[in-house]
Amino acid sequence: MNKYLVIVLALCFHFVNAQKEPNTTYQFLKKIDEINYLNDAKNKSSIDSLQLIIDNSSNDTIKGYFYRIQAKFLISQLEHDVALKSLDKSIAFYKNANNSLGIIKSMMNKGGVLYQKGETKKATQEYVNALAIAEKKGYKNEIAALYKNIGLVYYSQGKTKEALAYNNKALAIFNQLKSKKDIAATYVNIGNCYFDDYQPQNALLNYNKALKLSKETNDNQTIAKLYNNIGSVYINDLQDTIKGIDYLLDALAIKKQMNNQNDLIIQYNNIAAVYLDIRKYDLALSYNDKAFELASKSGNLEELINVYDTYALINSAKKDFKKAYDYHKLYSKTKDSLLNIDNLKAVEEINTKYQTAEKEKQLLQKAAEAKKKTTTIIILSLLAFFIAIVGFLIYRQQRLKNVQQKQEFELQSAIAQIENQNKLHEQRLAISRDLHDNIGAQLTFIISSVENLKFGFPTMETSIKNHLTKISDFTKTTIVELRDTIWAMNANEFTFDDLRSRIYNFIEKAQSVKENTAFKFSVDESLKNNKFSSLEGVNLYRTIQEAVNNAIKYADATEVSVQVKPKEKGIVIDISDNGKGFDLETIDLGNGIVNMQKRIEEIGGIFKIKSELKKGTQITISLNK
Amino acid sequence: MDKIIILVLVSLSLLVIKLVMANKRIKHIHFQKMKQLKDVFKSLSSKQEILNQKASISNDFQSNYKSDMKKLSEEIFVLQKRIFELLSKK
Repeated sequence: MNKYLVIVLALCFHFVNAQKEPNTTYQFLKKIDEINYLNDAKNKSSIDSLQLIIDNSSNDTIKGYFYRIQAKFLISQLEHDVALKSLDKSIAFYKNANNSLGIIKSMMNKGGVLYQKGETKKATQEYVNALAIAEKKGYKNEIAALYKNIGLVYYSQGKTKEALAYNNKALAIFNQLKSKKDIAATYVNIGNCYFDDYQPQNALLNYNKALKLSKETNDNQTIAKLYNNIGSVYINDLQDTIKGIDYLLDALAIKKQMNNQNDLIIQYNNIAAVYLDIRKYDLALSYNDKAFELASKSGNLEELINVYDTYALINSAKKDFKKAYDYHKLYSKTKDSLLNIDNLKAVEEINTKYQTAEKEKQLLQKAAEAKKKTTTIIILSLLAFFIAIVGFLIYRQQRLKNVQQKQEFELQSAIAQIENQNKLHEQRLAISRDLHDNIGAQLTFIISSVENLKFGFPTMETSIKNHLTKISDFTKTTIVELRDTIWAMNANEFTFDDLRSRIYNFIEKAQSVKENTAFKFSVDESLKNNKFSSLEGVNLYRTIQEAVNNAIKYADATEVSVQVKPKEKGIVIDISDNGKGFDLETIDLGNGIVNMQKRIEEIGGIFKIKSELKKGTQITISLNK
Repeated sequence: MDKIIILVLVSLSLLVIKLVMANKRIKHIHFQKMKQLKDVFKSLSSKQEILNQKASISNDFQSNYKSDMKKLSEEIFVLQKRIFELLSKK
């Protein structure tokens, strides 16, 4: 029924789902990858027909998986050589697909087959190779399974200590992974080791742990194996043969159900050995015959040894020593081939290689750790360096901002102060202007009043008239001074043109008094646009005015000349007359000349006066411009 | 991890460059502002100088004016004296 179901499923898979993604195929293969199906010999044809379909597939992972399933089936049918070929194909396909997990699993199966065939050297090599890949990829489950299998190899060679060590390593990982089935299988192996070391209580303890877990997971295969092992403990170590046989028969019933050929051989052989112990030779022979039939068919040397040994013991017990001897020879021959020295050495060698590789790996790991440490230190130093630079830059930026703000604040304060002072000055000057206007009006009023008096009283006494004229002239002079001051204050700067027109006004008035005096005022063309500040302008004007006034008033000059000429980095103003002159050494210089000198020095100029009796006077003003 | 470290280092380098550029920019802005303020200060100073000169001219006139007025009062006093003399004679 199952067979037809698989064929139908396979055909459906091929024709209907041919175009579907490989995942569907994988799910289908996973469905048939279970013990009950693979242990059933009847499923051979369906698996063969599935192979035809899988071979046409282009997915190497699927192919690898199928050939591993096929190998499992063949192992259960004890066709180890064919199973090995399938596993080689599986590994090749997995390698094409670069599927590490598949490679490891198939290598593990191959190691198992080789182990069963007695080729422990090759089996160990396969396990170690698979272990290297699993460790590189970090597949914990597979690492533990391989430890367990290596433990089995040691166990088969009687090295229970090493076997226990590997099984304990496997158990630790399985416990981490919480894989009940694998934990149970490992407990079985540990129990076996204790059993071989004649520690029945420890063996039973581990078997019972395994039995509990196997029942939880409904793992019939392991349950059968455990019944068998527990039976062996009771028979061999606890001397309770009847209870032991009950366990063995329970195990046989489960194994028959499962139809695992290898397990059946072991079971038949065990029962035969027990019956031999209790002197039921016929029963022992019949069970051993069944075991022999299956073992010789599969070429399972390991089990064949036990079968031959049992035959030898039965015949010996039956006093048929010739047959017993023959079987013993067969036993020895088979055992030698299985457990030869080369094999032992090779396994040891591989183990040593593995250990060396492990140590090298640890050394490499340490070197890598040291390198990592150095790299970390470098990175941390770089980070610290950059952070320090960033900190320094931020600090410098802040300091710069503070300094700049201070400078700007100082300058702004100075500007504000100057602005205030300027405003104050402007206000004062405005008040001054108002005062000047007032003074101007008052002076004009005085002049007109005096003139009116003179005009209204033409017969007034001469002395009074002279006084009034003096007052009027004095007031007029003051008003002229006032106008000059207002003129100077109204403009910010002057040119020589402004100065000339002002001086001409003054000269015109002077000429009206002294008509026979010739005046000359000349300015060099290049200096016409030269500018002066109001103070410079007014001081120059008043100095020239004073000089001309002196020439008219005291020197009786007929020619007065004012010449403005350029000089290197400056201006020279010459005021000369042809008047009577004076002796600078003997004459006492009046306020007029002293004031002129003061005014010129006030504007940063040099004042020089040269005079000779009857030769006139020459005043030279030098200004740096 | 390596990528994060490289990212952090690159970010720090960029930050350093940004800070250096910001520093330069701040200096430039400050330089411009100081130049502007100095120009204002200069113009205000020259204005102050002009105002000072005008004030000096005004003060000069006022001191002259005071002495002129003193002389004028003296002259008026003499005139009044003379007028009173004439009036007393009459």
